Amino acid sequence: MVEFLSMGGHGGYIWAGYGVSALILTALIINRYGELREHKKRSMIIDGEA
Amino acid sequence: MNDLSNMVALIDRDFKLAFRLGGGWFHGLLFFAIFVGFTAFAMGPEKSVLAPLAPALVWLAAALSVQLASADLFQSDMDDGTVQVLTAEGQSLPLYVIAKCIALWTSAIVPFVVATPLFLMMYGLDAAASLKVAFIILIGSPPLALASLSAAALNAGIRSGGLLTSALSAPITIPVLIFGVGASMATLDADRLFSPELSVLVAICLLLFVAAPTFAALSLRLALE
Amino acid sequence: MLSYFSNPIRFKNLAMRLEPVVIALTATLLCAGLLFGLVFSPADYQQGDTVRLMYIHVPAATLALGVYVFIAFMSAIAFVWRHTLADLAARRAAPIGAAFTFLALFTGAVWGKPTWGAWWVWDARLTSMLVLLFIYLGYIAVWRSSHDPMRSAKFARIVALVGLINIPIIKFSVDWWNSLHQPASLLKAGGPSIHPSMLTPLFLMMAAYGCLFAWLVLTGVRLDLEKAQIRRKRERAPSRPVIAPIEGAHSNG
Repeated sequence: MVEFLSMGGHGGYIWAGYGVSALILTALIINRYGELREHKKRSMIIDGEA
Repeated sequence: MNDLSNMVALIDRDFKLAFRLGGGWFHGLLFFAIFVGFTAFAMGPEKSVLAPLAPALVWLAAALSVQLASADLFQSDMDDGTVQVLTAEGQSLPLYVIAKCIALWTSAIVPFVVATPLFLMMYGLDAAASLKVAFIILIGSPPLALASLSAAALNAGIRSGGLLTSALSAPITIPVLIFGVGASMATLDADRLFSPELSVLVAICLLLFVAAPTFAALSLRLALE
Repeated sequence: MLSYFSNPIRFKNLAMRLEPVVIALTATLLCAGLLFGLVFSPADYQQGDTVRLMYIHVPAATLALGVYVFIAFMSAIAFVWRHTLADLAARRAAPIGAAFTFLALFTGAVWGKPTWGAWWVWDARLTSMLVLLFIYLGYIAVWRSSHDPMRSAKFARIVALVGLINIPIIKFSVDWWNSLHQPASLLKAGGPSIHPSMLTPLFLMMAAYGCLFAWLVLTGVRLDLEKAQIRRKRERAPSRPVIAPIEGAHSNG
């Protein structure tokens, strides 16, 4: 495990690259899911009125 | 014919505005001189340091002062209704843009290009090399003007301040800078005026002569809507 | 084909059906890509384990350019045929493209440090990617410049198309610049030829990034369409109790 994480001594660079990529891509996805959920709530209110 | 006489009238008006008392013709020159002075202060008086960097610094000064001069080129014409009247008369907008460009180039850009050899010699280049570099800047100045003029036309419709002007003209300005500095370096290193870089610079210039007025006119038309 | 799917209802139905497939595909490809990239693929004999950064760097860079071409293509469609859908797709694509560009730059930096010994080198690729990031930011700024999305759309189309002309100019000019001043230090993908064991994770990750982009654009455009529908509904029936204004529709627009 430790060997895997150290990546031949370059673990810092590799995990920083993967980490930041994961962070930004997850942020995009979570942001979109939030928008979808909020929209669903709103359209249910509208449909309820109609 | 009507288009042409309008163009002449427009250029004439812009000249009068630029060269009257308090006009803006020397702003570019002044900025240029200030930039040169600042770099000399920042980098020290060492000629051996300044001389090799001189073409790059002068190009940088040229690019920035062109942006400064053309940032709100169309704003006043939009605000006082000049553009609206011209389109109502059926004036071709690309020709109007070209007229503005000619006026800008001769009144605001040529003055500092003429002064360029002087600044280059202050940086420690010899007279012949200075003249050659100044000649290359003269060739590179229309594309610089056309690039920032297109951005200024967009800016007239969007009104985002200076941010968009520099962000949108940067992609065209950067290749002009690269080839301009490259051509200048080639004249210094190989002591010849004509280099491959210079021909690319001329090619960019010709391309922009066609593309920039078209896009600027399109942006102005949208700004009027 | 284009005009067939430019019908909003047809597009919405298609998007609803595609979305679950695309997101499932993204998840699968991503898991497989990470597994192959981090565990199964061997370390490069020259670069060691740092070559694993390629599997996130190259897809991000490819998508960064691809998304811009997508935006320009959509803008051209919107310019010629005035399809709102194309404008919406271009608008939704821009922040994603900017994110990919940033990721390409960032992963390039952390890859560059151990291989070249520097976080940042002024070479052809890096500089052109930086300029691309500026183009993206300028394009996004144009969309945010006006409260009237229809008006912003017209300017955005022009900016996107002008930017497209710039992409080859930038690329060629910096290649020139490179050949004149800095012949070395060009980005190499793990040596001249890539071993198949490295190609597998590379292609998996590229496909995953592409699917993620597709999902984000599909859901985004569908949301835009549905929000517009709600707004129309509200305007037709103004006597109904007012619902909080859809701030997303305005601030995004």
